[in-house]
Amino acid sequence: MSVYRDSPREQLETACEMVRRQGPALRMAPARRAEILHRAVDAVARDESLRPRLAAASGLSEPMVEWALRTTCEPASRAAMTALAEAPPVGAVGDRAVDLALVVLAGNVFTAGIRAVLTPLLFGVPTVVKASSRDDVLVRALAEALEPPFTQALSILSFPPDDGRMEALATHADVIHVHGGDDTVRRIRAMAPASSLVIPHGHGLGVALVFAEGLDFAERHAVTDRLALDIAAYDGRGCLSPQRVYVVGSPTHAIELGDRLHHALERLEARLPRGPLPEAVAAQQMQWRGVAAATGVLFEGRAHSVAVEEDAPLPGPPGYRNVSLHSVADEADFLDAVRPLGPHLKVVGVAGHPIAPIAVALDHAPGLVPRVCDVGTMQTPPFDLWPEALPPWHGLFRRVETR
Amino acid sequence: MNRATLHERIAALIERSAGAHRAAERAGLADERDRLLQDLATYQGDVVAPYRRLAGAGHQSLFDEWPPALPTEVFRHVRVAAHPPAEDVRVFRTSGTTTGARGEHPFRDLALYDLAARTAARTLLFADAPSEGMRLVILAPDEGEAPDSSLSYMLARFSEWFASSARFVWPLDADALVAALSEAEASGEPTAVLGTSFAFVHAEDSLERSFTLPAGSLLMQTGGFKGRSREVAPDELRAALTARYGLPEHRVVGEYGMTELSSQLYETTIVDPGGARLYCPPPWVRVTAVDPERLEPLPEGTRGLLRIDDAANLDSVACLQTADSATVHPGGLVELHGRHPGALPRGCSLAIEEALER
Repeated sequence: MSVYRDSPREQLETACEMVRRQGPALRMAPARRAEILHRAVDAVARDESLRPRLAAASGLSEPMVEWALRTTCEPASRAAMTALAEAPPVGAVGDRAVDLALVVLAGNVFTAGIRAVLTPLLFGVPTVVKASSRDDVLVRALAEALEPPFTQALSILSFPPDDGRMEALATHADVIHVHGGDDTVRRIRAMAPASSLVIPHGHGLGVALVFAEGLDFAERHAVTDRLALDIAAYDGRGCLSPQRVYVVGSPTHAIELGDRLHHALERLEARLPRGPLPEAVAAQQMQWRGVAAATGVLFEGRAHSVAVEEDAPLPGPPGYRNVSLHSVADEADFLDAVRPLGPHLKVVGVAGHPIAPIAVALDHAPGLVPRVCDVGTMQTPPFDLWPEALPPWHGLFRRVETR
Repeated sequence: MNRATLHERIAALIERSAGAHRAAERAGLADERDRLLQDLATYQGDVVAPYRRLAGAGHQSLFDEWPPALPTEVFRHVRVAAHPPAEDVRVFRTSGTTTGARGEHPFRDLALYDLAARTAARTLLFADAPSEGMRLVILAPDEGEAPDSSLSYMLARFSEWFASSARFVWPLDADALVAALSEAEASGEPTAVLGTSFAFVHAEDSLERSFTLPAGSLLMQTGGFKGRSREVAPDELRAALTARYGLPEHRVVGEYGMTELSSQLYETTIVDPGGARLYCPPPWVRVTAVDPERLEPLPEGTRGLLRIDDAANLDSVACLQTADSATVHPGGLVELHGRHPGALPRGCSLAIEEALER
């Protein structure tokens, strides 16, 4: 593993070439790759010294960091990694991994790097990671935990915004996974050569859909606890974080759910406290909560709030465990509400209704490709998730057509 | 407590405040102001729907010694007024945001606004202006061009109250500005150049010569650069303005106002040239830095979000919570640290509005 911080362009190009040459060393049975990589994930999950550093870098509380690490690493079990490594249909995608993947991590929740880095390595693709220098603690820890031959097949680079250096990296990569905002994706698309495949993992948001009448008393209690966890995870700053909850039923149902959710978030605060609130966020939170209290119903806790929309449309919440509830008449009403979000809608958590029909409806809605899941699992996707409805190995294999 | 009685009490307090800018003078009126604010909040809690709802919801219940403060953002979403729209004599509007929403501050009458604006400006801005008035050069649209701008309204009133002559240079045109300033130079009459910070920056880009305005002249700048293409540090801009207009630094005065308020704060450098460059609230206005999250008052000298309780806001809401970062120093003087931009550190979460804009 090599780490380059603010290195000149020539050195970065040399690093790319060195990593690229490791491809043959990664040609081994997929299960063997999964075994080695899983050991690295396991080491990271057990490294308690990471937590305070990650808390400081991410602005999350240590218990929240611990939860996030655990729920990210647990799905990356050896069995799950093996299954994924063996999943690509060779007949369809070819059996030769591409030479070099570039993973750009620009503004993500801190655990996003785990899956982003492991995926190309799992398919035998040498990988260069462009990380934020302020937020590379976890990917560096993962890289340090790797064993040969992966140690030389991964390089972590960080440098201040610099199109020249980024373009140099893009030029070397066969595939570029960009985890960042739309502007970052556009910039990298523009600088990548035509031969490089750019796969965006843009910023986004989640919503929950609760069919209140589909839940009995006990289920309502359990659902609000699970939904509270979805809202509290990563303090509501992740692209899977639910910002709005749509409640199918009357406005009274929304108020009832809001009240329950408020108490569930209060209980959760004791176990998974929110991190410190930056002043700029506090200012926005104050304004948003004020609008909610003046126009709707606001349930306000020490480190969260739940607003129920009533007299006037509520603006989007500022994250940080502030969430809004909106009544919708039915599933069609819900689809109308979320359709404008387009590909930015990353996940829909459902409660009180089977998820399959909702998934089908969303699948048929133009421009929408969210993951659909049960409430309570919005922030804990499976390891073999198909992001943006594409298989995880997309762009990581190639074959020359000989017919 | 009915509106007429409150109106009388507010007017009386403002009139008694004339010329009061020293801490002791303002402190002497504080008890009366605080009682008035409490009564105003009670009245407005009955007659202003969103404020009634805010107060009734127990929002800010963590801190209940003072009336709840209505966040200024609410003005962008619902009508904040004690009277129906048919009784509006004027509606001031905020500048647009990225989502296009503009805040509205409706007025049933402008008598208190006028009284407050005139008293504060006479005390801190035109404190040493000659009795016959000053020559005004105004870098802002006049009232006819921008009828919903509270700044244009105030400057138009200034041209009636404090001016021997007034010239609106808008749209900003270098030749017209040079002509106005050259005439001012030649006249020997004290001149006040008034405008937004952004207008002064724009003027800096186009002016090719400097001026030496007559003794007793001053410059008032207001507002920041939110949403503008170019930002200049306040110290840098002030240095440029003193050089450009030939003014001592203490004659360059900052004004702080908001569409949602009826009163303005001014830097005290005209009346206290040797003092710190801080904003002074008029005696009928209570300013407090509050904890950004709990909204509780902070001790003097601590940075927080600025809460402004403006007794002149009779027909909307007096107690307002701004998103501006500030420190309130001993004596009630305000150090502004700036307005928070809309963009937030969010991880990879996208705001609903950002998603919808694309």
